[in-house]
Amino acid sequence: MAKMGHKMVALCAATIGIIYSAGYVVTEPSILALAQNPPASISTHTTPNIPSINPATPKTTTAANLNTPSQTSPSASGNSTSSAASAQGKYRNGTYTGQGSNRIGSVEVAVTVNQGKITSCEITNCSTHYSVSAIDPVLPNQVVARQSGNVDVVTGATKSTQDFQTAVQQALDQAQS
Amino acid sequence: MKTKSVKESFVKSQLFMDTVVSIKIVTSRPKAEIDESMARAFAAFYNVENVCSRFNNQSEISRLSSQIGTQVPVSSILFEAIRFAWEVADFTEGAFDPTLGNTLGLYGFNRDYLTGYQSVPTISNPNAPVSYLDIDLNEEAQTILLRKPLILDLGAIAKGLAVDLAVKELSQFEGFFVDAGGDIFAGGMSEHEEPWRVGIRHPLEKEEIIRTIQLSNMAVCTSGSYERVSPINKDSHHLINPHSGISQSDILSCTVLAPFAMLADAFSTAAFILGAEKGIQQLELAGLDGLMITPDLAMTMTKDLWRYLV
Repeated sequence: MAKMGHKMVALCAATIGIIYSAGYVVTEPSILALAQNPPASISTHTTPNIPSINPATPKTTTAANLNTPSQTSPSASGNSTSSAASAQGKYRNGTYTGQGSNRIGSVEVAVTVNQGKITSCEITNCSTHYSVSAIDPVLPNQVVARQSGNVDVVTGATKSTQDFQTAVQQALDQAQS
Repeated sequence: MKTKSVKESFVKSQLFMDTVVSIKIVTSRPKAEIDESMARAFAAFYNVENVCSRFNNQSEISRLSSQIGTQVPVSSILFEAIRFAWEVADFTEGAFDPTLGNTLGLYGFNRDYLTGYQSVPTISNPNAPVSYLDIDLNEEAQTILLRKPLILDLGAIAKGLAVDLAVKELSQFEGFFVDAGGDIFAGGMSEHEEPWRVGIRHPLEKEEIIRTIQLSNMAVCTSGSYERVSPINKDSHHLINPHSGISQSDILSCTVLAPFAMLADAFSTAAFILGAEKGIQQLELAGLDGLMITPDLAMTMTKDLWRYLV
């Protein structure tokens, strides 16, 4: 029985060890860069990666232009600027803040986009407490927590990020506009 | 003569895998070291999510799910995660099963948590029921073969895996915890110079703590029916019994302690599915400790759990 009891523990230890040793590339160097140089204040800013005017494409699309050879030719040669724009993907690079309110208070998030992908969503301000310290005296359920002694952290079924959806969406809207 | 170094606490929270991940470090080491370790620890979540999340149709697991009947070469992380899931499925006789992705999708658990986009396909009429036995692992070739159309879901272990990998980046600190929405690993001592005090959330009164446990260098995970309700059927939740295909309702929550978060995560799910009595038996069999809460708020525990209760 003891042998069987330790089988899963040993297996888990081996699995974690293999994964950790195999290494995984921190594919987003911005994560480490951010850590070394945290922004003094998280502020909203836009990165002007997309040119507002594309000179390679004629603006008008009336019937008269059908006769123009350049209109019908493959776009490869003349559209170097537009291909750069389309490579950005859905979101533009940068860090964007968003605010929202949840059941108990307000939250603020900083969403970072790198190479068109969301690389992190950091909670930058939260007037409620999520599983962190319940010792803070301003926490409304402090009395209840004290009944079982102070707690440092709470285990419960995994909470979803629903409370942050508004804030995240606000940040992503800026990344898309 | 010993000078006591002043320890400070640092907390950061980020969103990953549809949960709030908080990391707290208690240490006298320099800030630059803390920042770098925090970044590497969060990077573990980013990487696990990119490989293991079925909600991201570009993730390695999503791409694997779309290839049936062929041996697909996969990364070490995905191979090992699926292999571990398979072993837990085998150990628990299918109470835990990583092939539940389609069923979960049909219950409405199929939206990307950041963007809200429904990016996960579902197989509306699968030919036959699927189980972990439809996964073939070739260790030498590091390939995986899926015998039938199915959607892999590693939700029950991916968070724990990310926690365990994050913990590897924090071992030099005197005290720390990694909290992935209630799936926790607590290392060393808290700022009060004692093992970490972990409150178990009351399954019905969400702002209350029902019991407190105290531990150091251990993981604790809780599975509960009360947090993620099916958007399609409000009487269902995300802890689905692979044998019946419906969500289990005999207990409200199950808390498991283990030396690794991935282990605690997997077994809190399996034990929950098995119910109050069989769940505790399974935990004892696996050499783990745990506590289960029934709808009338009675508790069943493994025989050594009392050691951790405050």
